[in-house]
Amino acid sequence: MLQVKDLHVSVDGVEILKGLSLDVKAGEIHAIMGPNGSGKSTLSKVIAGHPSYEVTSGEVNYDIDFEAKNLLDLEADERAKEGVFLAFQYPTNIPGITNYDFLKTSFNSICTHQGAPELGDEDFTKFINEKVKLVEMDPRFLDRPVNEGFSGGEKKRNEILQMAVLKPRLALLDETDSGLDIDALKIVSQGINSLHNKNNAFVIVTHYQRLLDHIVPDFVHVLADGKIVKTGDKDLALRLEKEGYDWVTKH
Amino acid sequence: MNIANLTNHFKQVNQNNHLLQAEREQSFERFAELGLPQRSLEDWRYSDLKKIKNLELINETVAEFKVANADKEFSFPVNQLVFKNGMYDQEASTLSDGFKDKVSVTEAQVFSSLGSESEFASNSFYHLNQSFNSQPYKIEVADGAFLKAPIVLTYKYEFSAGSMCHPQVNINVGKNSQVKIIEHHEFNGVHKDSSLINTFTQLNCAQNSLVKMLRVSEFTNSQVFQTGQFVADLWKEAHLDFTSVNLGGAFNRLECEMNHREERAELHVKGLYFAKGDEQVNMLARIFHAKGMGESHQLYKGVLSGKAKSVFDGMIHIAKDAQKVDSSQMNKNLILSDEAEVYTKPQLNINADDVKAAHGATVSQLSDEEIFYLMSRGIAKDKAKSIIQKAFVDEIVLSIGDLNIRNWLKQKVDQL
Ligand SMILES: Nc1ncnc2c1ncn2[C@@H]1O[C@H](COP(=O)(O)OP(=O)(O)O)[C@@H](O)[C@H]1O
Ligand SMILES: [Mg+2]
Repeated sequence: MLQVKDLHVSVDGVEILKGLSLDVKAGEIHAIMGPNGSGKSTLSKVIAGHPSYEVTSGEVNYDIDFEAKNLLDLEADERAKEGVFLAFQYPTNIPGITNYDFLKTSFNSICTHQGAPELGDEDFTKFINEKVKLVEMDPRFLDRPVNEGFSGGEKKRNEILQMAVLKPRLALLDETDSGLDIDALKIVSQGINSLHNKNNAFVIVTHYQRLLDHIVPDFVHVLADGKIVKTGDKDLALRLEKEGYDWVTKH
Repeated sequence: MNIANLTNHFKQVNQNNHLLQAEREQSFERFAELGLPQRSLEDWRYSDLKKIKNLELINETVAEFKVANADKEFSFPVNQLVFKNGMYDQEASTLSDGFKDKVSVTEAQVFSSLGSESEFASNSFYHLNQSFNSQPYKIEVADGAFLKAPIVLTYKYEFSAGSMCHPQVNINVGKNSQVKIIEHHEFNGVHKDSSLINTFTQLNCAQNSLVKMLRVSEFTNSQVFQTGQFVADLWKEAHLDFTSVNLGGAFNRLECEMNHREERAELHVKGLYFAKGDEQVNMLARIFHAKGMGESHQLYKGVLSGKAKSVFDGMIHIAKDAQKVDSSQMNKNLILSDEAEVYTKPQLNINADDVKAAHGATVSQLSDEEIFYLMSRGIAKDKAKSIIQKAFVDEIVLSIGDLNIRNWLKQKVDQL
C-alpha cells in the first residue's frame, strides 16, 4: 500500500530524512519509535503532503484498489481524498470555525471526490453523533472552534474523531498517545482497533510501549538520525523500553 | 476641488434665502481656511496623495434624481427611507403605520451642534458637508417607542464625473426607546473617476435607550471617494451597538466620534472593512468618556489584498472625573498579499485613575499551518483559505443579533 524508497527530505537546506525506506501492506500495523528529533514527525508530514518539506530524492508510492499513485505528485487535500490521514502530534487551532462545520466540510469534500452524495445537516448530525460516542467525547465539543482551548488530550481525541469520520486507508498517527491518561489511551486504542481491517494500514509513531499493550503491531521500526536503523516485531518495543535507544545505535 | 471654482459654485447654490444660508456661509469660510487635507496632517499621513489630488477635479454638487425604484432589497419587514443623491424621496420610501405613529421624518431647520471637544470643528470634510448638503433631515423616534422592524436609511447615488454629494441626517432616539437602524450607502451607477460622497450622521441616544445600528457602505469596484463623519451622543444608561461595514471602493474614510455624556452608558463599536487592488480605507474612532461608570468596546477588523492600504486610528479619552470606566479597543488585520499595507494606531488618553482600558492591534496572514491542517482533511487549498478568511470576518458578522439583518449583511460579505 505504501512504499517509501530511499527518501531524502530537507527543511531550509538542512537534511532531516537521510535515505529512509519503509514498506507497509494493507492490513498491517507498523510502529515507529525513535529519539526526539530523529525525523518521525517529518516523515509523517511528508507523507501527508506538508509543503514546507522539500523532497530532494526518493519515492513515495501508494497503491489502493490496484491503482498505483506517486503521492509526491498530489497536493495534501488530494492525498486525503485518496485515503491518507495524519493524526497530528500538535493539532492546529482554527479559530472561528466550529468542529462540526469543519468535520462536515471535510467529510463532504471526500464524499464528493469518491462520487458519494454529500450529507445534509440532519444525516450528518446522526452520523457524527455515533462517532462522538465511539471516542467518548463530550458532544459539546462539536460546537466549539476547532481545537481552540482544547487540552492536549482533548486535541488528540479530536484527531481520532476525525479519523473515525474519514475512515482512511492509510492512517499515520504521530504520538497520538502522548499526553493521554490511561482511560483516554484505552479509548484511543479501541478507536484504532475498531477501525482496523484488512483493507487499511496504520503507521503509529510512539515513544511508549504502553500504547502497544493495547495495539499489537506487525512491525516495530527504530528511526534514528533520519533513517530506519532497526526493524523487528513487537518484542523490539519491549527491548527498547528496557534498554533505551542507545542499545540500537550501538548494535 | 479648486477653492476658487468651489467658491463660485457655493455662491450659486446658496443664494435662495434658505434658513441655513448664514450657517452655511460660516462653514464654507471655515472650509476655505482649512483647505483640502494635506498629507502633512497626522491623520492623512498614510493616504495616497494621488487619490486626494483627484478631489481637485470635483467642482459641483450632484443634481437630484428620480428614477424607477430598484428591486426590493429586503426580504423581511423594514421601514425604509430612501434618499436619492441625499434628498429624501417619500414616494420611494415604505413606512408602516406603526412607524408613522412613533417616528417623524422632517427637513431640519437648523444644523445640529457639535460638542466642544469634537474634532470635526477643524475637519474640512465636515465643513464641506455643512456648506453643500442639499437638505439636512431630522428623524425623531418618540420616547418609549419600541420598533420591531428596523429603520432603514437607503442612500442611492447617481453621479457624473466631477460631482459631489453631502447627505446629512440627525437621528434622535427618545428615552427608553428601542430601535434598530441600518444606514446603507450604495452606488450602482457607472464607475467614474473623481466623485465624492461625504456623509454626516448624528445620532442621539437618550436616557436608557437601546440602539443597534449598522452602517454599510457598498461601493464595491467604484472609484468614488467616500468620506463620512459619524457622531453619537449617549446619555444616562443608553446602550448603543454600532457596526460599520465597508465593502470596498477606491477610497473610504469613516470618522466616528462617540461621546459618553452621562454615566453608565454602554457602547459597542465594531468595524469591518475590505480593501483590494489599490483601494484605501481609513477608520478613525474617537471615544470620549466624559462621565464615569460607562463601558466602551471597539473591535475593528480589516481584510486587505493586492496593494490595498488601511489605516486604523483609534483614541479613547477618559476624563478626569470619569471613574470606573471599562473600555477596550482592538484592531485586527488579515493581509492576503505581500504588498498590502496596514497602519494601525490604537491610543489611550486617560485622566482618571480607577478605570480599565485595554488596547491592541494585530496584523496576520493566512496561516500556512491552518491551511495545511484543513487540506490534510481533504479540503482544497482555495476553499481552505476562504474558510479561514470567513472565520476572521464572522466574528463581526455573527455579532449582529438580529438574524434578518445578519443574513442580509452576510450575503453581501459572502459575495466579495
Ligand atoms: N519546519 C521545520 N523547520 C526547521 N526544522 C525542522 C522543521 N521540522 C522539523 N525540523 C527539524 O528536523 C528534525 C526532526 O524533527 P521531527 O521530525 O519533528 O522529529 P521527531 O518527530 O522525531 O521528534 C529536528 O531537528 C527538527 O528541529
Ligand atoms: Mg515528532
